Amino acid sequence: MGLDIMWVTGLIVIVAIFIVISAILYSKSIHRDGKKAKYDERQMAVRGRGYMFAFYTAVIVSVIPCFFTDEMKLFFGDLIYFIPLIVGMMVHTFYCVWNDAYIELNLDSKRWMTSISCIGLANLMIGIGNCSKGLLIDGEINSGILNLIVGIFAFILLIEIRVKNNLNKKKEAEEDEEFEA
Amino acid sequence: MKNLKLKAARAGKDMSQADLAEAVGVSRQTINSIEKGDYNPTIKLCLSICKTLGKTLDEIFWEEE
Repeated sequence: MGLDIMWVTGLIVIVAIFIVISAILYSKSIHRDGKKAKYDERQMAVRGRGYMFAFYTAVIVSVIPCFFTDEMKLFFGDLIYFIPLIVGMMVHTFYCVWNDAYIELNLDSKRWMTSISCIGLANLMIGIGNCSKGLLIDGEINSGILNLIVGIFAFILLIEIRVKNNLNKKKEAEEDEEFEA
Repeated sequence: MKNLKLKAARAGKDMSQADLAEAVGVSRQTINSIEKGDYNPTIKLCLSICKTLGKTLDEIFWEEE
């Protein structure tokens, strides 16, 4: 019991530290040239569509457990409630990144990506720590695996942003060549 | 439908997509989408683009039949 309280306190402290660091990075350092970060009108429209796709995806995914047997429901445990949220978030994020509507204007994307890396790494570490007790506990998936999923999600997101940035740079170079010609 | 008038006006002002985007406060991809005809800008953005390029709305956004 004592260990559990220490573990929970440690977790809260880690989360609080990351929230404070993220807030400081967001409010001060990551804005370029002192300009306020904002989404332009096309980005807001894309994000609206992204939210719609995410909502429908979350609804569809949350219906799937209705067809599960009791054993399957027991096996998935609390994850049944969280998976639709995470899948919805993934859909929104990947859609927005692919349509250049995820990162705000005037935002220093390198520092932003660094903060996402830190959050991803923290989740991975917590997730690995949680899973050291085993992926299955009493025939039920260890709900601590959620941190692992969020950590992996953060790193997939970073890879997608990197790929999209490279594609944009290629297009921009082509456009510049065309412009010079 | 591609907006070649915008592209021509931008080139006439010696501005890249990034330059125009910076001037009107949107992303380069937004200007690219407008030029490709993938995105219909609001009247506010149209006006901002026209003012930056020194053109009228008709000259840049009017579609000939």
